[in-house]
Amino acid sequence: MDLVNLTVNGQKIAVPRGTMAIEAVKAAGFDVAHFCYHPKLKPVGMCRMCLAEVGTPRLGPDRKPVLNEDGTPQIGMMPQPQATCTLPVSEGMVILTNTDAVKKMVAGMVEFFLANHPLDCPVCDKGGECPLQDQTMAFGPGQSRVGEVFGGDVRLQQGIWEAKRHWEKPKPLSELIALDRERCIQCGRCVRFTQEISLDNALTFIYRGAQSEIDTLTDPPVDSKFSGNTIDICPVGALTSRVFRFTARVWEVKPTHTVCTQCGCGCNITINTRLDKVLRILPRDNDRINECWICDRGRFNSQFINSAARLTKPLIKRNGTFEAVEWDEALAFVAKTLTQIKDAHGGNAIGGLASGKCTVEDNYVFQKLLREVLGSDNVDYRPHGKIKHRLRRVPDFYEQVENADVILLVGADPLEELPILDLRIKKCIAQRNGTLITVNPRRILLDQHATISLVHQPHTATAVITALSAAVNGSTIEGLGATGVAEDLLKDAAQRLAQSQRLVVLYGEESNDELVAALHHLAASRDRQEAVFGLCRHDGNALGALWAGAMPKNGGLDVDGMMRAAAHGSLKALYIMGQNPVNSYPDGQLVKEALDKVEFLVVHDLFLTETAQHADVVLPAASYAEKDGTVLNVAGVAQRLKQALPPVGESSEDWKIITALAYFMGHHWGYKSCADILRELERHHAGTSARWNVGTLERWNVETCQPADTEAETYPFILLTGAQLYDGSVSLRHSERLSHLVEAPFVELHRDDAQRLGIARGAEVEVTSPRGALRLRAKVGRKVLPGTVFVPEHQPGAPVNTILDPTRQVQRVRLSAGRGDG
Amino acid sequence: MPTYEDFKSQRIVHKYIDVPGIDEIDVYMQHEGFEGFKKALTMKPEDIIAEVKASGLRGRGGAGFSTGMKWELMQKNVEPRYVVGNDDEGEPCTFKDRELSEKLPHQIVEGIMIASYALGAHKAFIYVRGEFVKGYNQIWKAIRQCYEKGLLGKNILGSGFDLDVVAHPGAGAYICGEETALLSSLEGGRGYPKMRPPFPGQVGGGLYRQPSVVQNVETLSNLPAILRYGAAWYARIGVPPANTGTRIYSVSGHVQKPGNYELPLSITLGELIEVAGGLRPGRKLKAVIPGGASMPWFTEQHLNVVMSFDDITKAGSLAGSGSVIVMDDTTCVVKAALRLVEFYKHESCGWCTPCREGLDWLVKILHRIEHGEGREGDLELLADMGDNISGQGTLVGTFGTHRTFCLLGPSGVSPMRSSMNLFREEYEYHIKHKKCMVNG
Ligand SMILES: Cc1cc2nc3c(=O)[nH]c(=O)nc-3n(C[C@H](O)[C@H](O)[C@H](O)COP(=O)(O)O)c2cc1C
Ligand code: SF4
Ligand code: SF4
Ligand code: SF4
Ligand code: FES
Repeated sequence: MDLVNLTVNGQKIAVPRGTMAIEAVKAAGFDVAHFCYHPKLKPVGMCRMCLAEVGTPRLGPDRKPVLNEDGTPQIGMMPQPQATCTLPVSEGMVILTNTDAVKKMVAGMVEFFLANHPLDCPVCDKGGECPLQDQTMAFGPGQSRVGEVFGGDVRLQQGIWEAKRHWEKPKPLSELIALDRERCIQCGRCVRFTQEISLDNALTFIYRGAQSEIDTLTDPPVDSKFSGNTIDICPVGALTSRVFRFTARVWEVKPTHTVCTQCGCGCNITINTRLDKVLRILPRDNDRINECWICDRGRFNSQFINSAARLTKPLIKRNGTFEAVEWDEALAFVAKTLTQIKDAHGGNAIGGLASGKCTVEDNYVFQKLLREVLGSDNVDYRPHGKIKHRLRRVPDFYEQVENADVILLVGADPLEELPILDLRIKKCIAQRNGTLITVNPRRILLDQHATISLVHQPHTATAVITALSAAVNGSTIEGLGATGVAEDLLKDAAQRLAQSQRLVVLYGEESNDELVAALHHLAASRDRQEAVFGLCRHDGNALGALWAGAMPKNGGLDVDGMMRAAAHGSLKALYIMGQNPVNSYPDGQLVKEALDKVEFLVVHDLFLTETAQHADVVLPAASYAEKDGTVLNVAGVAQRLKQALPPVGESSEDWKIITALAYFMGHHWGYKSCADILRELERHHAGTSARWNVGTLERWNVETCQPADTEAETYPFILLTGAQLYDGSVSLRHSERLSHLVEAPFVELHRDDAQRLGIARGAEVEVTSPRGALRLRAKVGRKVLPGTVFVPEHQPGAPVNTILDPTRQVQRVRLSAGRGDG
Repeated sequence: MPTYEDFKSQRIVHKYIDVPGIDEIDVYMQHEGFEGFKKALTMKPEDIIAEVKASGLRGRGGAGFSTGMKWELMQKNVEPRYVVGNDDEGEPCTFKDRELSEKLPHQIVEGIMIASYALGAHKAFIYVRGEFVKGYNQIWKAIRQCYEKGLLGKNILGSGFDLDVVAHPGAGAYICGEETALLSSLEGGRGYPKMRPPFPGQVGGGLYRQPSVVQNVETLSNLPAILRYGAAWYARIGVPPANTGTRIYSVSGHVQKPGNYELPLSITLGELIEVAGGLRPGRKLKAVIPGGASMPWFTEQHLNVVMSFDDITKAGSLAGSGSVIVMDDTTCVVKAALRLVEFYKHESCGWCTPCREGLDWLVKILHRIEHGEGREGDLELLADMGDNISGQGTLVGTFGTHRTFCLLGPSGVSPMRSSMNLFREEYEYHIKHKKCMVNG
């Protein structure tokens, strides 16, 4: 490595070239005062706290250092003090941070900060973890010479020239964040976060000079899925969380280091609890995964954990209503009923839905219950069968994404599905000069930062990728017409793909085998080193559930098969752990039929969900914050959950419930902890990588998917669905603050279609399929292609699965204008 | 007693300012208009740069940096490159660029054409202060007329040289006159200064991160004559070799005929005040701020200082924007200082702490002194807070060891520091007697 030698306060040190002086001073073991500098943001030199006296070797006319008599180089001190955060080190540099002059400068700067600061530490959320407090103690003058000395009334007597700046406080910036303008020290970290990291410009400065304020110009305010991070990096209590505000002093909370399971990213978090209540969730640094950020769902979707609506006791349905019962009674009842069904119809009359939202251990004992105790191979963790079982481990996945020269993103919207992946992609683009190529049937927000967006007709992704391969190989491009993608755009994309040295391919979880094969073919056709493939699984532990074996083997039914068998009557009992298929299963009609028809339905959940309401027995489960366990993130990286608080009421960890149930059925497994379960699971896997890994794919063959379109006249629009970060999921409904950000159910259509049909922005529209109709609010724009509409999955109160017909490949609907809401 | 009439024949930039209709291209062309540019087209770009360097022309915007040197230093192996005319004149009591924009817009455009040709720029911008509505319209008129005459656009006058010029209205902030803040503003961002290095002339530092040269419009207005008559001619005017040519002094304050006066750089402060009509009868000179409101103050004993860049620096101030503010003995220096510091406080962009917070507090303290609420210790407090914005170090001369990001902050300290150093007894009187020593 190219090292530069320098001296800090007399101490010699070598650091890599390009290092900023502030890091060199820190590396030499000295403290540097700083506010605006943040290692993840570009240096800006705003706060002027990190000033130092700096010198460099004097150069003679021959460009060689001039030497003193004793042979040491002569140092020319720079005339101005230097901000070390913006000063790259150079050979022979001399940095002094502890001279009297520097101490005075820094103390003077602290005085400037405090001159207008309200000093309301006793009621400030930041108090106790506040860089301004800390640096005032370390570097400040100890006493202020300006500003109100005794508060408001005295100010008037002293004449208003003594007044600090006052603002109304706090000012709600958004649903989630409140701003205290008096406390803001104008370091710009928050604004720069939105400009450099989240790339959504959700915050900005307004006005000028001493009147500058932080504000948002977006609609809705602070339109960002990452806004909470600005609270963390704000070096004062100016940006505060409206969830956490005033709930505790930070030294009273108990921190638990665990992992977020609300999506597949696997962010490392710290849960702060007090008196067994979750108060806030913070990111925990892990540069290999989430760096120091998390998304707003992970952070603010915390109130549901202590929600009053949580199930705290087992429920048994009698005469159509639920009755709270003791655990012994509930488990004995479930054990007895399942045994009867097994005895009467055989084990295969029982099915189990495990869950990518539960831990590896939960899923392992779940499938063990089905297989060993109930004798059934019908077990699946997936919300529906279109998702293929693919287990890939890419331990350095996020680094690979960051350092890619080209990212090909197919059929996924990371901002809504895997937010931290979205941030890494943005980092690759904004800081590593990477190129993003997207292939999606509609525009996504990330397209703003994409070099090329190939927006294609629905269900033609495989054709687009195949055409890309052809273009990369220089053979004739075929079948592009049906995709609606322009040839010159495609060629441009192909050229960039062909030149790529570090290609990362990210594809959505519903990609079918043909598409995946086409992607592999495309990657291979570049004749370069192996590309990195990333499958965008949403659920927090989807891969862990797969690894734990919670999937059908030996001819067992998968989730689709179970639904059909249940509706048909051949499946008698269904055991569902941590899933809400009534909302999430694509065929809403089928799932209702199935649940109505089965003789016996057991559900584990935190809440009385739509699915649980159909159950005969509901067992209260623990949330991810209340349990230990193992989860595998989107890249197959295994991480540990740690219990932050005991399960509320009498709720319990899923694996404990199942272990107890097995005991009631005569199987004594004797697990005392997750470690016991994991050890057993690892013995199963010993010597193999996961046996069910679908590693080798059939030879790909191309399919242009021109659907037989007899219904095109009655149902002229193709319906697309997709995930949404703030959806109608039950936990969000019970996180009071974040629930305000869940949008009212909408349908998105192209503005030309809207105009033609006379549908105004915000108007009510009826979206009708052969299966049913939904009344939705119209969003009009250009994100979808003409002729297609987009309705997100799991919208609150308007589940799109009620109008889907998964037996068809193409979903068609018609639109009719309802009344406008002005 | 010299009068302006004695100097009018030596004018360069204002040579034709009195000609009726000179703001129309035909009249301008009848008065040597575009001859400098046509001459430039016959020369090699590097020869033009050498010529401008040899003329000794220095920037008229504030820093007084050698124009030829700046052109030489610009990174030229990168396309595109830009030339930007700085017409954001915002320094209090400076009003020369406004007059040039309104009366001699074609000369500015000709200047930027010469610079663009010399520097290989095919797009140039003139950033006009937002309040200069007339000047802005005049510059656009001149640009349009140039297109009509084939002086702008593609293949200008058959030379193969292409150039487009765009005038852009400023965003209403003094800081946008600072060249890097100007570039931020021109790019559509907030008018915040940018970090240097990279300098505007280097990749990463200029407009849209491309190498760029920012030049004051008076500087640009000197170029046509330099090209027409040659560097040698220009370099004989003023105080050769380093302070050549004329400059337009905006004289304001307590003189009988305030206004813009174009004079050779060899003029003394005393002569300049006389040219501007002298003081009012019976008044005594109290103080003069040479070079814009931010520069250290002069007094009577400086009347013999030659108003060139280097002589003013030697005498302890800076030539800055070339404006001269004259204050006679009716002036309350506390009030004057307050007014000026208030300006800089109001214009602080807020990027860095010492300027944003420090000037705010200087104003509050000055305010209470001026309004009879000053306290014991206030002067020491003022001085020390001033030092914490911009220390009194001597190494870089008058601005001291500033702790700010750009020079606006130190500019705001200067009026307070100068006036207090020179007239401390007036400040003390204010505090002790709770009223003004001069005006009661
Ligand atoms: C705070 C500040 C304000 C400035 N305002 C102006 C201005 O209004 N007009 C101007 O021409 N230069 C102004 N300057 C100087 C410019 O930064 C720059 O030096 C000048 O435009 C360069 O042109 P020149 O070399 O032709 O003088 C200002 C500088 C500072 C630090
Ligand atoms: S709100 Fe916080 S992070 Fe943003 S500028 Fe103010 S102090 Fe800095
Ligand atoms: S990105 Fe995913 S894992 Fe990270 S905080 Fe958000 S929901 Fe949790
Ligand atoms: S000194 Fe700082 S706050 Fe003042 S104008 Fe310059 S950058 Fe802005
Ligand atoms: S940390 Fe260097 S200026 Fe703020």
